[in-house]
Amino acid sequence: MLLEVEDLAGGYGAARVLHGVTLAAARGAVTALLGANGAGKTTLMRTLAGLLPAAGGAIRFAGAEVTALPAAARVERGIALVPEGRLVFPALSVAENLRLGAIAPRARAGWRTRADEMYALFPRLRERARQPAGALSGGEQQMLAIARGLMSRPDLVLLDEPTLGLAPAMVRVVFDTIERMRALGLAVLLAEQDVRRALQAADAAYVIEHGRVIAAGRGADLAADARVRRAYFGVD
Amino acid sequence: MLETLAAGQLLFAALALGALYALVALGLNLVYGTMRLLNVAHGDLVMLGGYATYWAFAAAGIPPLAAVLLTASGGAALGAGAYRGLFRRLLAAPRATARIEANSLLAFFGLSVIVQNLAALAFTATPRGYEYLSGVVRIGEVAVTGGRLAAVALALALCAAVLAFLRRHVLGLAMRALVEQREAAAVVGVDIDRAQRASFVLGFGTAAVAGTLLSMTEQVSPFMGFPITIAAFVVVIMGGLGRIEGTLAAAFLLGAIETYGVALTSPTYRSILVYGLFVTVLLVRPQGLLGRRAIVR
Repeated sequence: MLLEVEDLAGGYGAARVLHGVTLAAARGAVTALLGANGAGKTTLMRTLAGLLPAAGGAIRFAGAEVTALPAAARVERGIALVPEGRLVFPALSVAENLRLGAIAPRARAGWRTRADEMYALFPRLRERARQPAGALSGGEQQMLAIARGLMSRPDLVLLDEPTLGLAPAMVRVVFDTIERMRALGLAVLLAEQDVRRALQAADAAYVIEHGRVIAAGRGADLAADARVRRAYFGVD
Repeated sequence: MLETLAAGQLLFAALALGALYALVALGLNLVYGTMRLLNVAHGDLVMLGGYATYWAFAAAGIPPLAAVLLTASGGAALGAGAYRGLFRRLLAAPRATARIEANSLLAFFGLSVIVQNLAALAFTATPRGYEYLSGVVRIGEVAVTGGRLAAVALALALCAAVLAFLRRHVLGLAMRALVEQREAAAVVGVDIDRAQRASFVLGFGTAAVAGTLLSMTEQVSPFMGFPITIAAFVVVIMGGLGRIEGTLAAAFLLGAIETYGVALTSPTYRSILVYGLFVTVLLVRPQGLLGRRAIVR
């Protein structure tokens, strides 16, 4: 497994959100994180990326312990977060945002070629390359956030609510992109509110509640799981 | 009157003042932008650079244009030392960070008073100056001393270099990312510690160099820093906090307003002009003349 998380605890200072999360994500596979708002998905993503400190447990990536590494060092190892709310650099141009995506030493060589690949993947970004990122629509900003994440040549992409508030056409683009990442052999950890779609796209899934994993399995199995059906589909 | 205003001499004076303000304010805004620390002692670095240049010339015979290298590296070293010794440890703890941001004004103000009085103790309050490149050069109708011309040219070149560094260099880009969106900078893998140190090094270094350049045209004194700090504040507020291009534009605007304002009235009104502008901008456009509110979707 590329990513192995064991009994991870964390949160914001004294406010503990994660109470021992154990999960794994493999190369060339989409792993979905399901759970209601406030279940701890975003906290988990941010702790994995190194934006929040772990209060206990371990994060292993590519066989090495990364639990205590700062965020920049994790990007350098190959972990890219596409954060909830996109967090683009609003006053910088689209092109500069992409350039910054490749600021980790591992990604600096050949960043121009990779930027061209991103423009090919998301033609809208090429049209708007010179505009400030803050002037883009929500969907375009999401494309930019994903492209910026891919600029770092990651092995693991943490996608936190990438379709939140997007129009259906944009949602399709996002899921097509996820499919493409899997085909390229990347590990994708996907926190997604659209449970039906997430389970369709996922090879494996974890259900998180109150900072704990309460169910795990293959996507198709979980879709049939009574607890998941009750919680998310409103059917028995 | 109109003839005076149209004169090239005045235009050059405005440009010279603007270039100096730009150099000083850029550093102030970088340190603020990357770390949210308002360095009220920034002008005192200019003073220290001025004295270093004076003594290097008076005691060791080092010409001011060579002393630039000395003050640049001295200022940079001071910046690295201040960052390492004082702020890195304090900024590492999130709870201390909030306190530091709130108290940075007071802390720096205290530091400023100490530095000023130590300088007065060490160098006496008597203003000091030297003769260097004092021959007059004529460019068209503008007559200017060689020292002043060199100082302005160097200030402009340095501003351009800093701007190019921030636009092109990886570290400059990292610093702008930090200014723009601290959390996103961490997300893309900016080495935050390194970028913060770089902003201290660059900010302190440019301020010290500004002191060298200023000493080439004016006398230095222990308390010369405070008005420079205030002018730099006005520039930063006008240009927008954390906005690099805005700072440059605002510096030349303030240089022009001050120069032409004083020419139209009298030097007595300088402070009223500068502070008046400061208060007006704060009241009317707190986000800066060229600043804009962040667009959040």
